[in-house]
Amino acid sequence: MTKIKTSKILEFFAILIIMLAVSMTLFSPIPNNIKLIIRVIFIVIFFISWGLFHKKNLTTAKDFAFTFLTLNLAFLIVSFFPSDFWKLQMESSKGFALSKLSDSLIISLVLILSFILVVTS
Amino acid sequence: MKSIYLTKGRLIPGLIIGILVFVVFGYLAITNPQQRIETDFLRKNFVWILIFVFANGFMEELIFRGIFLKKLNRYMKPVWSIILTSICFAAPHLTVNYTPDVLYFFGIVFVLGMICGYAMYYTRSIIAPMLIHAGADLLIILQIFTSYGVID
Repeated sequence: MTKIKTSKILEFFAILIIMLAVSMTLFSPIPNNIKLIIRVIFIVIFFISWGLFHKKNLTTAKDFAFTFLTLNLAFLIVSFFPSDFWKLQMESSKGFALSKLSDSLIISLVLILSFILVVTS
Repeated sequence: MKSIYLTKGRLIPGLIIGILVFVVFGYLAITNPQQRIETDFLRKNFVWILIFVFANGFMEELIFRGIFLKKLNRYMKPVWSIILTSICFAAPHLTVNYTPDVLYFFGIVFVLGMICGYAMYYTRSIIAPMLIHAGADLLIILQIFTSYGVID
């Protein structure tokens, strides 16, 4: 009983640390080139994990690996479309809002399409 | 799309809760005595403010809760899933520069995360948490726009 409880606590913290590490890369003020390297590393790690868990038939772990993979992929793709790309004036409310709209559309589209593709395949 | 809460779920309660909280937050943002907002400023920027808060609300609810909550619920009790996603939602807000007291802000964002998480779990949809999130963003975005100033 204690063993099960301990493993559950460990799993909780393992998921928490991975989620924190992934989500912090979106908002933290680290240089973009370092962010890019971190995201590529995450994508490789989660892609390999996804394949591995799929082979071993570990459904929950596979689902988590896939979710983290798509999230990093979305963060990576959105980094190629900064406000400069759309020539937005960030000092204006219009530029500020459209920049957020662009991020939101790209990230949401990548996530939604990835989940649709996996469900239909 | 049910797996990532992109469904109508409990639509009526979701809309009622969401719109109600959005209106309350909107009222608080506009009437906040610490940030006087000119009617002319609101009229000119109204659309862009709404686009910002809804775009951000939808994106962050999908990133921090939508894609995770159902998977986590299969694995642990909903209350732990909501706590976990709320910590992950609040943590990146520690790096913001628009508030002097980041720990206090972390606490507020954590509570907001718990409310949005429960709203998503209860209504089985992203609609209510997105509206609540957008409402809370109104408090911040109006402060940013009025403090730093924007070109109309």
